[in-house]
Amino acid sequence: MNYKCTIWLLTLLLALTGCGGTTVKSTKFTQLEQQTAEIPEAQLLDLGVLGFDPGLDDIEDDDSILPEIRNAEARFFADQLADTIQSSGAWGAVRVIPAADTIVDVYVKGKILHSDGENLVLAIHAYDTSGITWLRKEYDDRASRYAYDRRRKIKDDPFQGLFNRIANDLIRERQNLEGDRAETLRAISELRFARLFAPDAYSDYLRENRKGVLEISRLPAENDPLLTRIRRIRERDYLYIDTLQEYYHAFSRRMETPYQNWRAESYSEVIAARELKQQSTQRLVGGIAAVVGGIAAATSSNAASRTGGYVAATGGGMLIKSALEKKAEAQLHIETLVELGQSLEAEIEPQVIELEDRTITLTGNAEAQYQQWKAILQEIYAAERGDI
Amino acid sequence: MTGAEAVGVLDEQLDASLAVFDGMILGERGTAAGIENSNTSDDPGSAGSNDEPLFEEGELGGGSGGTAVPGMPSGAGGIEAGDGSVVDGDSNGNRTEGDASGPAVETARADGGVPADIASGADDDIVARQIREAAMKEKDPVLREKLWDEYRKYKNQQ
Repeated sequence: MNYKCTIWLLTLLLALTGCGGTTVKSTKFTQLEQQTAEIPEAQLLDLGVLGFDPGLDDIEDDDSILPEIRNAEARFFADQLADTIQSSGAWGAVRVIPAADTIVDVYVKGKILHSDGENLVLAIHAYDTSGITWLRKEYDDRASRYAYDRRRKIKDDPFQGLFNRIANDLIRERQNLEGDRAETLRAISELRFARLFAPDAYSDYLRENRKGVLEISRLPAENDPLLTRIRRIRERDYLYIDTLQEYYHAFSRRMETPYQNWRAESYSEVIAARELKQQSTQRLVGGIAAVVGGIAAATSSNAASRTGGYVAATGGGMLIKSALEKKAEAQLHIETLVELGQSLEAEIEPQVIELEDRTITLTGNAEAQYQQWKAILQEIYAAERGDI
Repeated sequence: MTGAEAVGVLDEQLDASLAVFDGMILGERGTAAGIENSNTSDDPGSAGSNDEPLFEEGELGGGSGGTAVPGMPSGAGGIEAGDGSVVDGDSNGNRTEGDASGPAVETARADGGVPADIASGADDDIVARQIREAAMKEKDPVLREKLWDEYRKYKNQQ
């Protein structure tokens, strides 16, 4: 170990003692694009946003993420995205839907990869009723500190720009549809619905190609009496989805204030915890290196190197001590985050349970009626064919 | 019974079942509106929904014979009553009748909201019972009367 090396160790020591984290502030905000050209009603596509996957399976050992909050966010984000997409004016009805077997023209599935008030990362998959994927992409955004500054009274959600980007990408995909593809997608949706309620009558109107994409084999007559009945039933399906939507909306509105408060309070804690963790890691690594290097230098035949080695080893020890203190400080912020989360969890958990109860009851009642209608339609089909 | 007669009976059953569903949905939407209104009262600064009708306007069910189904729920707000008329909502959350020719006046109630001419229901089958229960639970007088009409029609054809 030579003199230069000792100097390097001391420089490292000084650098690590003084280093701190840096915060990158993003103020870029994506505006929502509006559909300006009028879309004929026959080409308006209905879009369903499925309740998001809360991403709880992928969470590593992170005490600050509480499952109930993630479950609530999964509904909240779906509702927020549906509202944003609807506002773009490029679609028919945009609704949060309970499951992928609800029939709409375009589906959007989302998964929460990260959400802590500072950063939001979502995985989004959009596909149409025929099974063709429109987009599969990850979206991430970092909230500006100003987003939580109450003096500014910003009304928008801190991550509204992210939802706007998703909506804008969907508009572009919609605009890329060729010719009468929109009408075809609507027809496929209607035939899927007809097939669901009267499989004997409509199962051969659609076929799946080698890629698993649905194609129309033939179209029913416009005056098909069974289809007329099915359209009346479909109107009820729309009403059922609309009613669910009202429950989702009500849930989001009740959750919004405590949730946004929690985000704002979490924001500074998340940043502080992350910076302290970074400092702790840097000091620990530097401290260990300094101690190891210092011990090596202390055995040198050169007196100056030996002195430098002692200084480095001592300084390294202090760095390690400081690293442990930073880690303990970071842990305090994490504990504060957990406390904040538990407080929010206690507030919204009854609402989550209430929403689940209501949607399960409504879906169960609707499903019972649907079974009855399927049976009646089957009998009508048999009677019209002269089978009974 | 001929095939056409059988289809007619089944259509009646379908109508009755749709009416039951409509009643159920109306009840649910009333509940959802209640939650929404309680949100509004909790949060005076927020935009309320008091001025919005409980049901969006627009005819449902009728006119679906030859055209593609228009865009999903946004265009399908009314509830088709048993005779094909549409019940809409007004700004106070009260529903008004879309078809003036329908029975707008309630008949006399014998007991517990059951009209005087309605029998005990002891011999009701499952469809009749569902309509009866939906009518008894329904708070909106117009829709309730529609449901009782459905019940009468269904019982008369038995």
